[in-house]
Amino acid sequence: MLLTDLSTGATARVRSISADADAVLRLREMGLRGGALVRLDTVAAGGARVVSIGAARLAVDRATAGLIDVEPS
Amino acid sequence: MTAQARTASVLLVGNPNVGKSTAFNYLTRARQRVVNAPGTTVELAEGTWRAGEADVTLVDLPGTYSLIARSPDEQVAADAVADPAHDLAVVVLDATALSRGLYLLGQVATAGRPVVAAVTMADLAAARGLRPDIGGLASALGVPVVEINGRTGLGAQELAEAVRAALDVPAHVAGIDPHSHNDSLHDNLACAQNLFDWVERVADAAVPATPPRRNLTDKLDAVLLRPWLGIPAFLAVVWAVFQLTTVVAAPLMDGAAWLVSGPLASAVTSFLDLARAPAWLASLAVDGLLSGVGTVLSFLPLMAIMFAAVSVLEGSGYLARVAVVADRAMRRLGLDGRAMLPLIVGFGCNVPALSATAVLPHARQRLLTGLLVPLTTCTARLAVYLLLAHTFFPGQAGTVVFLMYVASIVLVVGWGLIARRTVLRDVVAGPLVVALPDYQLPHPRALAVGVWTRVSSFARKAGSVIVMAVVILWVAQAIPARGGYTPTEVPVGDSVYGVVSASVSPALAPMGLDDWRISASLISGIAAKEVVIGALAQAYSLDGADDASLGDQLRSTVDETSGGHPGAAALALMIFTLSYLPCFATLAEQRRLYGWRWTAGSAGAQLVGAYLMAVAVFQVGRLIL
Repeated sequence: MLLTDLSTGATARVRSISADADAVLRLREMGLRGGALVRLDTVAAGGARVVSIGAARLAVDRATAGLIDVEPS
Repeated sequence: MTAQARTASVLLVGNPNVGKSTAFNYLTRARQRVVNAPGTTVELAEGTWRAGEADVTLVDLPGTYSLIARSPDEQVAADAVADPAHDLAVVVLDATALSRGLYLLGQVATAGRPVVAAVTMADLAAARGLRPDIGGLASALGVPVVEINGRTGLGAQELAEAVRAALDVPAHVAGIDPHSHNDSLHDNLACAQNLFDWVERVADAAVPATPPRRNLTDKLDAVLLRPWLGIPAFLAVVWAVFQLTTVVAAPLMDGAAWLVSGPLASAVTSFLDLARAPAWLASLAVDGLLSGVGTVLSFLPLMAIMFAAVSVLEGSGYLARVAVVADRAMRRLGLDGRAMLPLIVGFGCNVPALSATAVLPHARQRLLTGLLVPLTTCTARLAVYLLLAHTFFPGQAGTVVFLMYVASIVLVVGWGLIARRTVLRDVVAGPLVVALPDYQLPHPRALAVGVWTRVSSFARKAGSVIVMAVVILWVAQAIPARGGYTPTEVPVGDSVYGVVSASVSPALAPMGLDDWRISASLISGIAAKEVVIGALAQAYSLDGADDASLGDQLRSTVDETSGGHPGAAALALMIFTLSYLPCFATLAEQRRLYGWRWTAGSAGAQLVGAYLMAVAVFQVGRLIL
């Protein structure tokens, strides 16, 4: 499923990201890498997704969140 | 030459919002200055730090997530780390986002720079049940690791000792091959994968593998990021900032102006009298130089409050939320939420707003934002609206001024849409991925030091431009153009300044403003918007008119020029003042950032647009008002 399909409070593991190479690299640098455990904290204004990875929080715009494939855990 | 024989240079590297600048301000106190990074317009703070028994130069690099740079800010950090002239990098790691910081630390080590790690926010991580094991981290990294807190000074002594020791015997990170850094994206991807694997190993050794506890930040975010609550909350914050600038700054500005034009001007005049200086010299000193200094000085409280407000919003972590909340609206202009920051700063002053565009990752986005910044109505223009609104709309002054802010926002959006459909069609918003740090209260001392450094840098740079502009105006007013007067004793209407203004003023007739004093003040306003009111006052008082207040005099002039529709003409003048041309300091900064073609082209388009709008406002307004 996609990160945009995850419900608030649920956790999932990142499987893959289907964006261009540079965008994927930046997402991985920010912590969204294959295997990372994420928890969906909030759906923000404009549909942006706020996720926790460990103690770190990230906000990802809606379109980009829709490119991130996750596996619920 | 060893690092000990000269002053060693130490870089402070870290992700944005990790408490790096707080640590920098604590370590260097007031011994710091703002410099431009070599060959760029990116500003850096550089300071002297007493580390152990000797001073070192500490350079606070712009926050970055990676040395594979995507913006000028990040490029500056990457270039500095690659420069062997720097002896050591102190990499600041946020304990609540350790993996992200470790990735950057790994890149610094790959570039071959010796490293000392400083861990901040350990208390915040502990509150979420994820306190990092500092000893475990140090043994996994093989370099000194010190827990610091830039607010309390915790760890400052230990950090100084670690840096001193690492300057003597450089410390290199275990498990990283120095100089394996490459510039191609393909090599970067391969290299990044190795680094990610290394990061996971180190992080596993230092952080407990338990899910984080929810804290106050999560609860606040559940409110502040929601559409129906987040957007009103954001507007309330912006409103509060402007209340602060108008309520607090206004008396300070008046005080500074009074100090210069009152006691200081009389002291200089009496001194020059005693010294038997010629009258023109006294006039140059008081009406030229001193009035320019007064303009700059009266503007400093406003700048200080604006810088402080932005630092507080940024340091508290709120600005990162603004980028999220504003993202969807900004995307319609081809920008992402991060472009909101420069536009907000622009409502204070356009010049620092242009510097703030450096946070945007793409050159075309920076250009588009930088061209829209002059349409955000800065506080100097507010002074003009206040005079006009109180004079022509005494009952509804507040509403009229508010409408000018609405007009400014409409202009930003309108010009943005036009630019995107014409000259900047290739601007596309990229992905927005923003770290949301825990909310924090600002630390007063670190804040004060940061604001002082920025304000004094502004006073030096923009201040000299404003003083020069005011002196040039004085010269134009001192040289007679007709009537056989002696220089400096010419009535301003017969000076070069008056005659040039009079030749321009018929162009203002379609907006009901054909008067040389109004055109003169608008021309002066190109130098700096702060001088519009001053120029108007000067034109009236030097004109030999009676003692009626500036508002009354302006009112009787506009009654005449507008053919009995003063309200419509006053609105036209406000709209024209809002957008006709940016001030000289803004133009100079735009030229430096985008080149003269973009600067001249956008200034020309703005002037034509402002003229057409002002004419339309008057022509329609006189049917109603």
